Amino acid sequence: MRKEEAFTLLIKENEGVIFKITRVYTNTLEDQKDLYQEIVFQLWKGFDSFRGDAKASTWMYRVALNTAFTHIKKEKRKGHNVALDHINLKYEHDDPVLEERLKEMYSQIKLLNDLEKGLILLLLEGKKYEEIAQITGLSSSNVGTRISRIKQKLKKQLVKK
Amino acid sequence: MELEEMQAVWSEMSDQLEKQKKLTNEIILKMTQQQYKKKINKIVYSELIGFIICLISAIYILINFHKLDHWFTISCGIITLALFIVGPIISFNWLKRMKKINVIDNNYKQTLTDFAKIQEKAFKYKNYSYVLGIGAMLITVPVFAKIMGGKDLEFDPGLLFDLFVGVIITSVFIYFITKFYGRTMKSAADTLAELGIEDE
Repeated sequence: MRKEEAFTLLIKENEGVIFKITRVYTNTLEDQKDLYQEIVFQLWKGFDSFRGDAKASTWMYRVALNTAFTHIKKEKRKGHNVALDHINLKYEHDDPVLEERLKEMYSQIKLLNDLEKGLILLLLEGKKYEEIAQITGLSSSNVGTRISRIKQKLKKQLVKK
Repeated sequence: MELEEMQAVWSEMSDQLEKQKKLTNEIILKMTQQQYKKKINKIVYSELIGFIICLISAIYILINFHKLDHWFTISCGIITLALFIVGPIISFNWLKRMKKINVIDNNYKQTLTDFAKIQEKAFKYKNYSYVLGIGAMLITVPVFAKIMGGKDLEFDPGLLFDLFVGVIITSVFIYFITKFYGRTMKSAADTLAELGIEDE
């Protein structure tokens, strides 16, 4: 399979995952599009180094999270990508209750610090502690400890409300 | 919302997203091309403008250096030239470091660490450079006063007064700027502490 074909296949299979990561790290649709494009670009840049090594999803999450974090930190200093403004990234559904719950969930996630954001995102994606450890560079036991702390934080946020 | 509830909402969203594939091969490949990333990198532009101003000023001082006829203005002239040349180089160096973070091979913890360390060092440097700014003002004013207006600082009380006012205004400005950066420094230090890493 040609590199381009393999890559487009990987992105298509994971487009929802990239969408979810970009939504956690951005506040506007414009920034989300920008970050989406940046993640795809970085994945393409590193695609050769990935082929054959680690599990595809582990590698993809790692690059996407790193890009998301560095992108938001630099966001204020840069303008926007303009060429792909026509991409429709809007997540469409007709369930106002779900939308309300999604908003609530994202607003809670955004209150967490940068490391916790990454951890909760991976946990919600259904990753096991072992894989979260591989992606984040923490030890499995450390991941467990930090996730317990996140749970407590979420409970506290709930009490504050 | 507790974690279990979040997991349920997340899973519902994931299922719906699976049904909404929007990307085509063409769009994906477009995203991989650098020429589509038409970013207006404001920070690089502002650094570039600063560099050009410094360069023009340095050339101007060099051309008019013969007008500096006192040991004091000559010394100030040499230091000003050095500041105009070294300043932009140091600034560009920080930009290069920021861009060096390896998002492809690093794990998440390493990226957070690298960024926090660079941020902390960059803001320390910025704080020093603002303090240096006052010193630079004291040094550059006599040079430009002599070259542009033929005035000697020691014989012109009006110029001394202007310089004094300038130092006061700059000091107030620096006070607020360093206060602002102090918060960013704290956030970088917090990140390092959270990761259990001591700054070097």
